[in-house]
Amino acid sequence: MRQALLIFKKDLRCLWPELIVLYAVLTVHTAYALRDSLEREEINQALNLPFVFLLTVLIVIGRLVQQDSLLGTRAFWQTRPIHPGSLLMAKVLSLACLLAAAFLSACAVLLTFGLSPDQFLTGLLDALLPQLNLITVSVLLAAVTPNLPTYVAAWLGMQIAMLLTQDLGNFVARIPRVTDYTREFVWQVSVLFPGLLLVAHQYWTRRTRWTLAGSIIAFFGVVFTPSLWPWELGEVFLPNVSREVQARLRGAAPDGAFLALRESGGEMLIRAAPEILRPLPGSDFTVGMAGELQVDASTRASLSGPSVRIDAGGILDALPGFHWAGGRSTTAPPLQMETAGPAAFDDLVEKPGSLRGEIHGRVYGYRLAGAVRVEAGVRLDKGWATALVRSVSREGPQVKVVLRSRQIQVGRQDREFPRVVLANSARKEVVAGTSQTRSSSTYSGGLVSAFRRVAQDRVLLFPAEENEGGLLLDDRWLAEAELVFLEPVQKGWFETKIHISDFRTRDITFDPKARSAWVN
Amino acid sequence: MTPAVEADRLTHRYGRQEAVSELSFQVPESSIYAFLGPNGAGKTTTIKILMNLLRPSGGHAAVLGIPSSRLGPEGLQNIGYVSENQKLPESMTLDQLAAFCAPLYPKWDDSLCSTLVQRFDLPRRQKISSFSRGMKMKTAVVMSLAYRPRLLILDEPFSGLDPVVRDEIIEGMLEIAGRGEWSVLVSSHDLSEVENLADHVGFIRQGRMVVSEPLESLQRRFREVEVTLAQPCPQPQPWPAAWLRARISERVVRFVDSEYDEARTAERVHQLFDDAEAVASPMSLREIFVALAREERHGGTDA
Repeated sequence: MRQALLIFKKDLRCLWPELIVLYAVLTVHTAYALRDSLEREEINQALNLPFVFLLTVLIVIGRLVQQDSLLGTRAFWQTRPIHPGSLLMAKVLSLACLLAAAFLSACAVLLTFGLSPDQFLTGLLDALLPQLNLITVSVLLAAVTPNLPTYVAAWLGMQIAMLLTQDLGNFVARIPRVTDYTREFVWQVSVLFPGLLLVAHQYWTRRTRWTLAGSIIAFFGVVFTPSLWPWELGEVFLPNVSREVQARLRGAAPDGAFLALRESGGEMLIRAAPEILRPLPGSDFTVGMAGELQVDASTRASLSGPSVRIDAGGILDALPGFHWAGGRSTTAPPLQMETAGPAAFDDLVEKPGSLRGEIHGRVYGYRLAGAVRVEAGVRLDKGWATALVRSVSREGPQVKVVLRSRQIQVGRQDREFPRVVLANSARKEVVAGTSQTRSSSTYSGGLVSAFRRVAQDRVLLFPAEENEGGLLLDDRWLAEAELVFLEPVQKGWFETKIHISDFRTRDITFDPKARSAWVN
Repeated sequence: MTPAVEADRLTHRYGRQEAVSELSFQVPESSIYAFLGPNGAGKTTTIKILMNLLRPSGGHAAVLGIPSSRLGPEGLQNIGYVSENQKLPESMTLDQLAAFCAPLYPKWDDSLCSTLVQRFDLPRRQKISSFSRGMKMKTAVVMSLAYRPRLLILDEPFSGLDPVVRDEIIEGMLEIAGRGEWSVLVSSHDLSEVENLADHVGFIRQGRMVVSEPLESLQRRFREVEVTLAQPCPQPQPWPAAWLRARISERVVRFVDSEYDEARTAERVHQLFDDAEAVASPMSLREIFVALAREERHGGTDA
């Protein structure tokens, strides 16, 4: 430990100019983060502070590692009685100081935003994982590169490689029945642990060539091997609450709705959860789709090319309350479909083919988490969410209600926020959802990854902005209404198998009447 | 007595290229061993193996009794290493570097460090990055002598230095050498740098050790011999193996005898040439080195 402290002090002495720049950027970043959001955005756009901060951090990591280079045989420390473990410990200490400063800065910003430590600490700690990954990967790259320019080039190369390969082998997408948060966590840990092992191996053995080879093998091992695993990955975390129903797709609807089949009489086998069968007003689903579109040989030729997109999202967009999580399309037959984008089958018009697919998603139920009467100044708090009745005023025969709600999102937490709805239980009616989301106090940055959101303070405005942000309601309706928090509870997941054959895409539209097949 | 350095059939390959091939030599304790050879002969590779900077492909080496592949922090506390290739922490001042190094060595001697800094006339509070090449080399020497190592390994320490700086460094080292028991392994491709310093010599060429022995024995063993013949004679076939660079012209035969012994050489000359008079001259280390190098290159006579 004594030796580690000695090297740590030496590093501080050697790197003080870089550290001063880093902390200056951090201070400026923090100071501007505390300002009004609009002004901050302008400054961020002008100076691109998150990028400058990230760049500075990367350079400091590179200099810190290459100060006592592992590469080659010329470094001073290699012929001195310095234990590799002490060297590694010293570097870890320096990086910990770096993180600690950034962590404290983030805490200062969030405290100034009016958040209490118990609101943001878990989120902030949660945000540490990807940043540890960033640091680990940067240390690995710095250790196998001879100088700063090569290191920066390698870092950029790695980013490009990650971009190019991210769709190829993100195995976590194949883990069913887990939340997105869990997938992200598994992914981060899968990268972090081999990375840490490689760093330790580098320092212990100075076998940088082996480490470089190890890095590449580990990367491909982590990214590709599980993707090539022929069997299903374990189904964990969530129970399957779905049951099978059958839906027959009807003929094309004249009103041009989304999906149906003409003449083919295609069938869908749907496994759906009870919550989907009888969706609550305002219920929310995260859905995705995987499948394969087969087309005949003549069509295949016309489909090839980058402009072709297959988008199965339209199938589900027709159902109220479903939202696509986003995703991608495919461009060359046979077309592996995994998710959906904004366009719908436009490029496939008049193309014959067959469609097999699978829709999968999570299922939420809602439970009442709190309710207050709708009176001016009444406030409803639940964790990170707040709802406030700003005013209740009579306007002619109606009553105008102005409502505000605020939700604070910190880090990447596996948390669903309560839905704030105005409900009239006597009449079984709900004014649900929000029409606008405005990010008023987004704080990006904090630790070393400036691109990750650390805290977001969302202001949700209820609909009817034509009435200056208020709702015009019947006063008798309002008398029996409450401002309600509906807390989503994850119930399980569902999947839907689709097999449609011999269709012509011109007539792929959804018959709204067919919806009954889904829900009955 | 355990030799300070011992290499036994040491081999190292860079890919398919063999940089060091079955190299064996010993650096006796308390000796100054000049490790000589032309550029690219394998000197630096050998030293890197000794310092555990490289792993040998074959054979083994021991430094101060420790197998080189196990040489760790404890062993390095007794070894000083100076290399023309070594990168010093250039953003530090000399004082800062000394303060960093001192706790690493139990035997660090602050007063010796100060003495050496004064002797080499080095600025204490100036960043090492602003030092000249000679000053950097002196700094490396100070940082490798101040803890009185049992073994000092110098890899081409004087390469590219002007003679004044070189002499300063040598004098400084010799001054310290006089005060204690230590061994020095100094590699060089320039004989004049180490000629007056070494008491043992090793010649390496193309990764192979040509000769390794005490300088005195080497200089006693090597003589440049000129034989004057009474009448022209045909060239003997073959030349004796110990005669290097042997050549004959008219009535004069010249060669370097690598196994010189006055009586034996005279007898051999008389066996080959009937009426001949031989005169043997001592050789400098440079001349021996050149003779050996040419012998290796041409594999025999110059005739």
